[in-house]
Amino acid sequence: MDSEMNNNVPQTGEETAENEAFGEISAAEQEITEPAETEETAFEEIAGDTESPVESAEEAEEETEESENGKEDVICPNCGREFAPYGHDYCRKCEKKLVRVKVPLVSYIAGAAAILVSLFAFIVMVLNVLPALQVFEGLIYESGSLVYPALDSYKGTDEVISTVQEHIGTGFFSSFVAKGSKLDEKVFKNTVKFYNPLMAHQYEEYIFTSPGAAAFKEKSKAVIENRRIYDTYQNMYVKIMNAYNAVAENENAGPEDGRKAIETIEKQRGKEGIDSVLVDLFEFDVAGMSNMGEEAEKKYLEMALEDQKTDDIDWRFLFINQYCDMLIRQGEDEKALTMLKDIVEEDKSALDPYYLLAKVYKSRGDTDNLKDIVYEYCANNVTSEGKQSDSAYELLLYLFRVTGEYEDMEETASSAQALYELIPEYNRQLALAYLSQGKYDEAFEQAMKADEKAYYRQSYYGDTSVMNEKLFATVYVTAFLCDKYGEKNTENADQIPDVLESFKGRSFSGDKVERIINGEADIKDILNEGGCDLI
Amino acid sequence: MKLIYVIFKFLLFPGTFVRGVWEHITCKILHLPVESEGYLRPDEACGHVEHALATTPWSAWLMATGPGFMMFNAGMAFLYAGVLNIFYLGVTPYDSLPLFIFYVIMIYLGVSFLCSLFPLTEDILNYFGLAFHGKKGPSMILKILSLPLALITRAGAFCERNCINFILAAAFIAIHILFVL
Repeated sequence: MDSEMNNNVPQTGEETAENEAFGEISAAEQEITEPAETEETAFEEIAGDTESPVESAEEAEEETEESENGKEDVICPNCGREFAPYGHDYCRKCEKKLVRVKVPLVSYIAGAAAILVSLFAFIVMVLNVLPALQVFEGLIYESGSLVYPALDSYKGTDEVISTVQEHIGTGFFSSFVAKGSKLDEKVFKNTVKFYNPLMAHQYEEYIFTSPGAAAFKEKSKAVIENRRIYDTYQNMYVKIMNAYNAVAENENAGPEDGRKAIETIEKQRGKEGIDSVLVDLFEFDVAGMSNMGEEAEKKYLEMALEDQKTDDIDWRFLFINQYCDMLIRQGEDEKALTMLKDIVEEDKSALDPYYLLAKVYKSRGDTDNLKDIVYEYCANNVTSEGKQSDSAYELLLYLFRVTGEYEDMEETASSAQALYELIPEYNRQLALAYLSQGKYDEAFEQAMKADEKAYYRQSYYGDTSVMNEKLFATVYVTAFLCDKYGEKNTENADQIPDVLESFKGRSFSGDKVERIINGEADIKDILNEGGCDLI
Repeated sequence: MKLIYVIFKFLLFPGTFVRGVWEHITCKILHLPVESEGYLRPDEACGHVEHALATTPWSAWLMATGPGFMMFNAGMAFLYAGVLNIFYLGVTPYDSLPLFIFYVIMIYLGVSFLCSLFPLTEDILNYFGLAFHGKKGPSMILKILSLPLALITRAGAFCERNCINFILAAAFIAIHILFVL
């Protein structure tokens, strides 16, 4: 092929006068013949498909004649009269004319307009990249069944938009950085998944905050569907509540009261707007409140599971953990395991099913699977800043408690309390980790910090739940053991006598505190059972 | 196929026209003879200008990728200005009708520009011929560096000629409607 091509390349000495006059064909220009012939097959393909200049050139090629120097000149495809010199597509006259063809003014205007509008679009795109990335993060979480992190990401979009708007001010471009109602709908849909239709209904006003929310909500399929569910629930609530309350408000309600209430509730089953699964769940509640026994409770949960199969709405989040917990308590580990695995397959952000799975593996002494499940949860529950979520820390601490890895427990609790500064629970668990390693002084200091944080939360946020019995038990136990075995040289050591004095005569639920104080049990025994409440 | 190609090219006329403009301007810069200055034509060169093939590797490269470069930048800016707002940030007509229409137009312009991204097949083949088979092609480093984009352009030109780019554009929008919105 090469030799063939070389034969076609004109030698300098052989160039015709016409070629010279026409314009110096540089060596590079002459080489155009080579690829043209090398790509002959490809060009044939093109020529066959388009009415391009090449096609015209090839048609004209048929009408060629040998020039003086033995090379083939082509009839000019433009005028069809003159010969195009070797290496050129057009004859001299046509080429001059065609090179001068002007770009129309309208084309220049179109080109300039395209550049200007695309620059504007580029600015709009750049301003929206960060909020859109936040939404994209939510979509990724959602596709991985991580409902809570997805919801978190979607909600975080507001903050990102505010930050962008703060930087660009309230000028012309700020109106191009705003979220729309569809994003609100995404938040709404995930709220429904994560909480329940009732709560979603309650939050409907707060979730939809975009400018067109009021009109959009009336058309949104998700909102309409949720309102329907809510109404159904409300109707049932009105009809069934009296029977339910008769048991709930009666402290001495017995199985007979329960059966009467269930009979009344049962009459509502099958009526329009009454969801069978929710009837089952009300009956389950009544059975529990009227001490009808665990078997009766289990029966209603199983009915709910059965009815769930034909229901359009997935209500399992309302009762599945409770049912699995019941199965585990009754020794039906295998059944619970299968159900829990299904749940975590669908939602990798829910703590309860993971905790129950861990509980099953712990009871079986299957440390490998226990660790796998905990680390799986931790890997799937990372905050947008790349840190572990608080629920992941909770499960991780459970793992270290039951496996007796107290150094790891100390490290984890220490990281958690540094990251989540306002949660006293991590300081409390850090105190227990110190205690289990015989670091009594450090334990007491952490218990005091937990107490301080809890007091702060109660005073400033009105959160009374943190000032609870398990915190008091921890403070008391650490003070007692530090007083007995510690060196008492830490910052708060002088408060130990006062702390012990304040707990004098106080009793705690359960016997764990008492057993530790009496030296009948070690803190490690308590932690190895998995619990850490000390009550 | 030619009919479908022409129909889509006309439906997406802003990109078709501007593509022709960039090609024409590139021809002017490279002093290449331009036979026809009509950009919207009912044939397979719709959105392109009929021009003589470039005679050096550099000009062939510019002819094959230059207009595409302009179309790509503008097209991506248009497309994502619309897509980010409608599909990710969820702007609806209820929020602001003018803004919604503006973003829909942006998406249309983006699709339109990106569907006219690639040159005619002969332009990119011309580059391959000059660069890889010509006696005085570019240096080996330039050949290697240009090869990926040249191959993409070659594949893109094939897709465009066979209307595959329209299918891809439709799939892109459909995926966003189904999985993002």
